[in-house]
Amino acid sequence: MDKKFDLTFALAGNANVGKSVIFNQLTGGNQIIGNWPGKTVEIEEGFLETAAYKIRVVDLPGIYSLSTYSEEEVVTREFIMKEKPDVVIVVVDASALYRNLFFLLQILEMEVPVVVALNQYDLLEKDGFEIDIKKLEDLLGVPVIKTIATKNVGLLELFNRAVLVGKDRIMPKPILYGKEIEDRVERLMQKIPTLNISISKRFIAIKLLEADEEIEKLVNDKSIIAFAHKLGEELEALHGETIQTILIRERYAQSLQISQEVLKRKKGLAKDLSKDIDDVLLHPVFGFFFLILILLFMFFVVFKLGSFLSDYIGSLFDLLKTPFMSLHIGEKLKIFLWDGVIEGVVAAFGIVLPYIAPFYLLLSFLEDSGYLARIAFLTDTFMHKLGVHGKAFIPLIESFGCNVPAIMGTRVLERRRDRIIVSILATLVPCSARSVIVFGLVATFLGPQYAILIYALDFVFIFLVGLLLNRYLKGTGAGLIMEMPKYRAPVLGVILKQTGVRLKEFFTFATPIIVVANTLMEGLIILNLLPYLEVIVKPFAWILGLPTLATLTLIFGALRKELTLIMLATFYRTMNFSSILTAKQIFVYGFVTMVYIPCVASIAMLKREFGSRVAILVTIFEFVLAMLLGGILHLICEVIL
Amino acid sequence: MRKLLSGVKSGKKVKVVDFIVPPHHGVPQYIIRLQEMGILRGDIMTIERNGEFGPVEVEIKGTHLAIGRGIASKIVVEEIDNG
Amino acid sequence: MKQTKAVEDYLESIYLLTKLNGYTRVRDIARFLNVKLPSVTEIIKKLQEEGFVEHTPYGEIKLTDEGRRIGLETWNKHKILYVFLKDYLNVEDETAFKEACLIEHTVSEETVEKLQKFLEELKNR
Repeated sequence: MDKKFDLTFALAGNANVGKSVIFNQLTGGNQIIGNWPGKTVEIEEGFLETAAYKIRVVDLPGIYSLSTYSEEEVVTREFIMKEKPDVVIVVVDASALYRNLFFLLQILEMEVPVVVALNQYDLLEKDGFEIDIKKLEDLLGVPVIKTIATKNVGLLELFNRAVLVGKDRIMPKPILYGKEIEDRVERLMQKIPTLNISISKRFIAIKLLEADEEIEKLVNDKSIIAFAHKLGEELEALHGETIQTILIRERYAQSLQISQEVLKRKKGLAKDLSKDIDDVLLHPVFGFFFLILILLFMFFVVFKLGSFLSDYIGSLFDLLKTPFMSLHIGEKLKIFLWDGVIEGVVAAFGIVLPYIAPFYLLLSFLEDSGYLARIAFLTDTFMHKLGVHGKAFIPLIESFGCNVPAIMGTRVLERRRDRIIVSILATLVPCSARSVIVFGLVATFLGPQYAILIYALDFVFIFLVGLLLNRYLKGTGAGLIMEMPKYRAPVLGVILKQTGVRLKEFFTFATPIIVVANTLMEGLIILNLLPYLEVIVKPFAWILGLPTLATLTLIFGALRKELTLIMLATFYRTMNFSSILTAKQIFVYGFVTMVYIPCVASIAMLKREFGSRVAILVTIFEFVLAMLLGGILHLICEVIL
Repeated sequence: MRKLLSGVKSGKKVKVVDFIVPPHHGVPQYIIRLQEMGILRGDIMTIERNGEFGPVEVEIKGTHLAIGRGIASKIVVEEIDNG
Repeated sequence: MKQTKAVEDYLESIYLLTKLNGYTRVRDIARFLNVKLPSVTEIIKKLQEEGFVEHTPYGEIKLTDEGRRIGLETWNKHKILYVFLKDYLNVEDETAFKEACLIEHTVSEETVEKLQKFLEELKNR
């Protein structure tokens, strides 16, 4: 536990319950994103200071259960067990109490201080219901605070209650399951020695009963585990179901009982418009039409706004150049610093940011409105051909902005195999940098129809690679099991905050890489190493039918995709690319830059998520494939056309 | 009448009868996941949406779930008459 | 011991219904299999004669050990054959389910187990 802070709060709950809204409201802009050691799940941490206290708030992932189904579930458990937060604030969707209690009961099994945030209470009331909060508190044995996070209602009370509970470490009373289960839990608890991680014995006993792998590893005692299995089998014989199912059923039975006792109907059932909206938006024909419309709209807005912002920020930096150049330091050093370091920063903020920011805004809007789930719904069957499910489409959309966060976004997929497939496909999707190249080069000098052709070729290529990967990578993809949230009007403040967090996350990771890459490149040029690189590049230039110098720019494109155009202009000292390359060459060049290797930042992200081996393999794979296809394209252009 | 979930028309109410898992091999992860999301044998759910392609949308325990076609065709249900 | 198609189908259904609800009545079976009540009563009589089910005093139908064995075995065969037809041969859902229901009566449990093993090995290759 961090000694700097008085208390640590952990936020836990299902997805779509408003947990991150509460997190954002509590911590404002004071957030950092960290990784749980050894895992790729990210945990957002923020802090909150009042006159009396300094509180660390941790936003745990949105999960539905505490089994070992996904890394996120394991990380949540481990965080609570090892970090021992002073309070776990369980955020519950009031309008779906029955189901949310299932998760709450599992947290209560861990015997940690809990406060319940009964969120989205306005939705519950709109449905025509109300909850007897006092009764709920009695039944659960923990404080329950009514909140509407998007309107900042109840959060102060939530905070105050959490402080009280955390300070005094008020433990909840256990919620008991059926007698035959509790008997065996009791017997198991007696056998468990006190482990040095002081976790609730009850939790360990229940998990051992469920044959939970992670807990079995923790306990590491064959006789206890065997005993637990025996008890589990007894229960299985009694109930005629597997032990995991028995406990799931128990928890739902308790949830049902509790929710029935506290839920009261106030007025007639309010009309839920979600169904009517979905009749349109999920319509087999119109739904797809609308989806394509939305995607095109996004694309259009992002690029119009992006290019405007990009030019604007670029010109701002240009204003800085003169004063910088008049500084009294060595001339060569000045140029090196400017072209290397500063230009690197300009690239990150002036070229990448203007496109990613509006993209994230729109993405956040789609997510909060509930439409993102519909996208997964509509694309599920198609994604299945690539061996994954509908949720995989969303990182692919993100890739249009930038591949790096898209690769991170594949965490929504449960299986590593699926995540790798989608990440590889994501690196083949034209990110904003590459789109800028296609626009700036192909569309300008050949005409927009050729730009569209390159996009089309790229999409076909992505599809084929997906089929290939699906066939080659062992295992079958997981099927879609996803909650469909109701449609909601997104709140602007929330969207802005979420976008801010996403951007911060991206820049913390990518900016250093971009700056270093840029400086390296500058170093290469200044040290006159280019001629050596030209020699290495010659064979590839021949395969692609491009001039050597132009092929050299591809190396720089590995650092940052948009560098290809910039370097082309620098090397040939002209922006009139049609004077350097023939029409066919422009086409081949355009296509190859789309697919040939992931940019350095993407490779770094691949390494972070999947390890060096995967990162290297993917890079080589894409390089070889791009050379192959580029060569074939070159051949087709020369011979046939 | 006994049916596969993937074959039930929109608007119908069904009771979950069994999951089609190969015998003697333990319970696959996705079945546990289905159960954790609330779909247990004996539960009653309403089919909100079921087209020819695409996932099946059901309403169970107060929430809506989208279930991929492949999984939906592994769930045996019994159609119950309303009322 | 005569085991016709109807016998096995009914035992399979009674097995499932009993596992689900704890008990089974004649009208549950009729609804489940979409068959008329008199036909169900007919077959139940035969099942009783063969010693596969018993009628309890409450009007419920209870499986004997032998009946449960056949019911479980038939459902296992049905499931394996269904997965084979649907996942490996890409037969359409409803067709695969119906045809698996027909095929199960013509093959032994051992054969189906061998099929299951074969499919496992195929998946792991």
